[in-house]
Amino acid sequence: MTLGPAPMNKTKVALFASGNGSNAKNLWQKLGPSLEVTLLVCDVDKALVLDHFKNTDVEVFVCEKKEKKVFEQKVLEKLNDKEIEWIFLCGFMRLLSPEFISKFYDENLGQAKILNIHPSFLPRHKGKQGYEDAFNAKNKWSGITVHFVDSKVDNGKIIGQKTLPVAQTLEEFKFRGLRLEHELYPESIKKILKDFNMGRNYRYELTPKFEKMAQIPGTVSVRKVIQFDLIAPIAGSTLSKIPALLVDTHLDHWHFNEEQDIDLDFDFALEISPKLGVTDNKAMAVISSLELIGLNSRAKTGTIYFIKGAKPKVEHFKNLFNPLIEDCLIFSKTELLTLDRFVHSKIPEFNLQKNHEITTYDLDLENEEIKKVFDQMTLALSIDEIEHIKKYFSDEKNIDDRKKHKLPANPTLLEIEMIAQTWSEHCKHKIFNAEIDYTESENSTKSIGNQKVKSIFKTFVKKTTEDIIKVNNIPWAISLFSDNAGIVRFDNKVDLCLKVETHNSPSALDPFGGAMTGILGVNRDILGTGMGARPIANTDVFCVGSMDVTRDELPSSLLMPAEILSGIHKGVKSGGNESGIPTVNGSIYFDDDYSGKPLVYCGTLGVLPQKLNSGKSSSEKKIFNGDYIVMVGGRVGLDGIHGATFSSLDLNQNSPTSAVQIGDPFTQKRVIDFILKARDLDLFSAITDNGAGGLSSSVGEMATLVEGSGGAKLNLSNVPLKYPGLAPHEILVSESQERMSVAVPKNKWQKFQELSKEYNVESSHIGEFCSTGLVEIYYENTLWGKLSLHFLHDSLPSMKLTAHWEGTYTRSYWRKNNTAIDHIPDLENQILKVLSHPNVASKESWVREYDHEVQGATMIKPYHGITGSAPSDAAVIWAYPHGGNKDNCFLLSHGMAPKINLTDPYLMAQFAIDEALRSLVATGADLDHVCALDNFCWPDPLPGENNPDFSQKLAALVRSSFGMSEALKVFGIPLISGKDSMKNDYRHEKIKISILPTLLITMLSKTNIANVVSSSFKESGHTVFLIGKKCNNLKHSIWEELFLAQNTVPEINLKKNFKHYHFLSKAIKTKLISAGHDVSEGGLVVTLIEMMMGEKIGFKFSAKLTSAELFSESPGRIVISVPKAKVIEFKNLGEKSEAEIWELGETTATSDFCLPQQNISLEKLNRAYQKLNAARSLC
Amino acid sequence: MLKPTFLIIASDGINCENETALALHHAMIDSKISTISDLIKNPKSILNYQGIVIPGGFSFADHLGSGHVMANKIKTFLNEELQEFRERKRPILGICNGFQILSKLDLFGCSSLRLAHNESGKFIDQWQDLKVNKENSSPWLTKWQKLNHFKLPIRHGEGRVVFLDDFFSQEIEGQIALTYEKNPNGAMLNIAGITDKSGLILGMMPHPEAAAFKATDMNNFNEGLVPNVGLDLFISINDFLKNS
Repeated sequence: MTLGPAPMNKTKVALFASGNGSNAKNLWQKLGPSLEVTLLVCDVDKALVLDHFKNTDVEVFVCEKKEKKVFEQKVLEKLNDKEIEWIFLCGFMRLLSPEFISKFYDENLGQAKILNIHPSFLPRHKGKQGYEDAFNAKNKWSGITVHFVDSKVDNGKIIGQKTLPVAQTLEEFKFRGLRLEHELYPESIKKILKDFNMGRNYRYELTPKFEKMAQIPGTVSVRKVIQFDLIAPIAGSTLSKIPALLVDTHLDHWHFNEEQDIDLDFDFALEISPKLGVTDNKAMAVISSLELIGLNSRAKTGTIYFIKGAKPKVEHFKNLFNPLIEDCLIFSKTELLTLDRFVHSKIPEFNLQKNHEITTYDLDLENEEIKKVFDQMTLALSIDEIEHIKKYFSDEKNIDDRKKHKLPANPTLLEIEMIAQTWSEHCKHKIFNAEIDYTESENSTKSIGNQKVKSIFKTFVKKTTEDIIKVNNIPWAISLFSDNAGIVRFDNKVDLCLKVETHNSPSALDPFGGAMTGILGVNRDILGTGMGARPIANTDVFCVGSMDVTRDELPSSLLMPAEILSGIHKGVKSGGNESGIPTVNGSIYFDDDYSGKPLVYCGTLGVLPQKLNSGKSSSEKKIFNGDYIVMVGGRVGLDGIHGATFSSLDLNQNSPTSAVQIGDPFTQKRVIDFILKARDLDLFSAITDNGAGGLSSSVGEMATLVEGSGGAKLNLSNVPLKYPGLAPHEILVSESQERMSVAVPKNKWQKFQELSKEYNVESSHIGEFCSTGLVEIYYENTLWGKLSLHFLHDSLPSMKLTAHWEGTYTRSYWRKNNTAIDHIPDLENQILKVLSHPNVASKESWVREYDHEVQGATMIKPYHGITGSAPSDAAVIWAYPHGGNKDNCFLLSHGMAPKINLTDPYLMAQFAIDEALRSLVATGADLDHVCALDNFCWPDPLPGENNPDFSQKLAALVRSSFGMSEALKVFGIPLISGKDSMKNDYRHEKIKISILPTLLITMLSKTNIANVVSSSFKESGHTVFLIGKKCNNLKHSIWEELFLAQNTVPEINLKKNFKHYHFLSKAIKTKLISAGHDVSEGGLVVTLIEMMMGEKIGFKFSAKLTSAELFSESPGRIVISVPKAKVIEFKNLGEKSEAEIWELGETTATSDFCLPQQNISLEKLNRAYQKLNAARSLC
Repeated sequence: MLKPTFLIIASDGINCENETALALHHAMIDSKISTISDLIKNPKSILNYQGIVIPGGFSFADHLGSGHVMANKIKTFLNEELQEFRERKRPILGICNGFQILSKLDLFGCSSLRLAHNESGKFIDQWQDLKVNKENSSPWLTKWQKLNHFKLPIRHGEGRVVFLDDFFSQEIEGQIALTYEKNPNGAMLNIAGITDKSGLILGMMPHPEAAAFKATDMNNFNEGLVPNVGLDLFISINDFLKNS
């Protein structure tokens, strides 16, 4: 090996050794190519190591000075002189001083750039004789450790460790050890340099939270302590039993009274604990653990960070706690020690005002004045609605009746709350039910005709579905538009229900909590469908602002898109993983305008046995006069009162009323287990979830199901509370999580209660259902409110709105446009650019954090193939583990096309539907069994001062609903459920951000498991075809976005597409197809490359395509591969079916993507495709 | 001959009990899914079963540490019966969270065995290539011994096998049951599963019950109910019970 002068870009390294220096020699031979060993420092004259470096270009510096200061001074001078950046100790026997080490401290790394290798499995056997100590201790195992150097002996942060069996003789043990040392040291150095280049910080321990703390300026060190405050009658002997109950005594250091044993090496302490009134789940675990030794206790938990360094500010710790639900206190060392914080536990009890009186609202005032009062209470009631309330309360019969029951003539606070909840946009969907006068200008790309829409829901959803069911003679739609979710029969043993919800506003404010309550909420929707369905799969679609939006572009009250994505991903992950529901399908979609409001779509598929054990149908709820109203699950608190509008409240840090509850998947899992067991034992007659509007909504809805004219008597005094003193109206409308409302026949109540206890779930009898036609609400034996069900649910006249379509949809640009591209690169770079675009690139690193196969039924997982990195189209769930047929399976897919709005929302809806359907078809779905869900997320379409373009938004809503209805009719697909969210805008002074109208279409289908096809090429030598047209329309494509060329809008021909889908479906059933993948974002090129990824099979074009044809995202097209032997049969079938098919090329054994002019290796393509994952691993 | 019946301990956050019961069923083993509260009421009942499985999940939300609260409950209320169960030489299996619980119950004879956070700090769902330890004669592993390597999914955030102390002074090789071909979580010695000295108690992070049938296999899903490698574990233990 010859070593020339070090090139400028090489990092210079010094090796320190005292002995024979075999590690030094080894490193010198193995390091590189970016490292250059330029100096050897030795503190022993005539050390063996010197021989190794005699005839090399490495400068040898021997310094035998005994006095540490002098020695280090000399060495430092030399190191400076040689511009050394890293030091690797190789059997160097001196301890370096903190001053010396600090000279090599690197702020970004959080460590000094000095490494050491030690021959033991640290922290065991520190010191000079690692091998001897392990050997003499008669250990069976030892090891080798590479670590950062700090001022103590063999003490710094560990980088790499390997285990090593202790041999029979010390010689052999050392010999083997040395071999291992020679592997581990260079390996660890490479790892560190890679991390260093990627910007990883090593200052703190494991968790990402700690890594965030590292960036706080002025901080030297942090120590984390979990804090339990306990108040319990602990006698001497029980004391010793406590640690084992609360901590892992083998793993954790613990002490009872921090002050006595406190490590005083800190300057400040930061205590984070749940806010007063927020459920402290960990504390509940502590309490129940202490019960195991018969101890009754009160407990509070928290975390304390002991910080050495400058005084931290709360803002610095934003990532460590959630200010909505946690308090953060900062103590100086003196404060902490004088406060006797650890001697006397303080666990404040949360107690609200005890006495509540009935208050009323004066309806004799002018409407405007009444509205002002209501607005202040964040009750969104309009003038028309106030007028309607006035009418009800001035009805003479009603006046007499209220007198008789000693109710005031005017409505009580509780009644107004109940009315406002029932009539809220969130619960009543007033816009979807409004009468809309729609007109369009003559220059519309497509005329749908001026029309009066009676109600979008009734016309384009309900009527459309009814027509489709009739025309296509669909027998499998079991229950539609009457329950939490529609129910379909796709199996001979079980039924399915599917629901997708959005949780946008809560997620904008608190991404983690908002998304978590979103997914848990839709799980409860399913649990409350029919007689209780088991949630078997979750889906999630996130729409967030572009990752390149910078802080100074966004108003400070908005969170950055990256923060939002990280939070909502964690929320959905915890919600699904911890309650045992697999997350099987979804996507992450980026667009600038979602910076104003992220969209968080959470969906759940549920399964019901067709017949219950009792013989009754599982899809019907029947409530009888006298059945108990039972609340199951969590307790009621102040959290989420006025959930739909809480974001507009001023959140006050000290006020417990501002507490937002984080969902608790654990409590909910217990509720699910219990409810399903109770269902199988026939212990209840109806069930629904508690979501928006709390008990007010759930009991109000259930009351309408009671035989006869319906009705309910609710006794709020029996509702279990998190803390005493809630006002009756607060109990009624609180949206505290994890609760179900159940109708239990009187004679089954006892059994129901017993089972509930076994499952550690709280159930409370809070009233009775009756057939009075009324909802009556009692509190402490007094009637607080009484309203007619008809008035609440069916009497409100619909809104009247007008909409005008100008011909195009314009979005307001709020970002500085800085995406100008001056030239279009060569084809290879175009491909790589498109592949690494955020809306194309792999999201695998997010997806792998979801448990996508719990319940043991996931056939097609989100990423598949031997490599595990090929994206799938539809998710496939096997029916058998869920009680279904062993040969049957269910498919889930989704589609959306927000950018197409910019041409026409009418087309946008059709593109979304086509995408969801072709994902299903490509995976082998049975086209006679497909149903769909619509989720409209819209910018505000109502007239208002700050909303000048409401009319185009409302017109967009009409056009997309119309387009949706048309497409569904062509495809024969009924809607089984849907939801809308209408206020997805952000307004603040000058800046206004409205999301692009977004329609998410979710589809569910079934097929025989023999027909399921994954999207990966399976073998070389298969012929690859495109089903559908070769297209060159690039408008709204990724390619257009990147390279800004003017182009034409893709067309959609629904009938032709449907013909192609039938053809493909037939070809799959005849076993002609080995892989199928739909063409979507990025175009044909991306489809083909994604098909290569799973099994690393290459592809070679035989067709010549223009670059526009390679990148067009025109809908209706699917790429498939056909084994050679079946090509003729396939072509014949194509001809017979009048399908348009294009031969593109064939699969190859070498894993290259072969274009006519050039080959690109899969490795290179994959690097581009993994760009987002790689970037994420850095944060 | 009568089919054996296994106890599956579930409830309070455990979430893989149904697919575990299904896998047992197809290995010709009956099972009863029981809540921990029910067992506490009637501890002796565990002796009615020929085997125990604790499946995966998040028992008691993993508050106070993974598997900690469930292990404490078992220690407090079922300890004697569990000891007797062991003395009668009956098999016990802990999968994922179940493994975490068994390790906290110190059933493997190395009290410092723990499942720590994955090196990446992240939950991961991924199929892993596994190898069975040829030197381990555990009856759970009989059928797997005939394979060179095979794939099972892992789904955990805290699955890194670490030994804190006594590992260094014990013969552990014979107790290793499964190792990863490519270490996904930083486990010491690539350990994915471990048995006690008798081989009757097995703890493992990968999920055999999620790979019991070809339907959930990455490449052969069209074969549906045809048994897959995960089922071998349960068939092996049934064969053992038949022969003993």
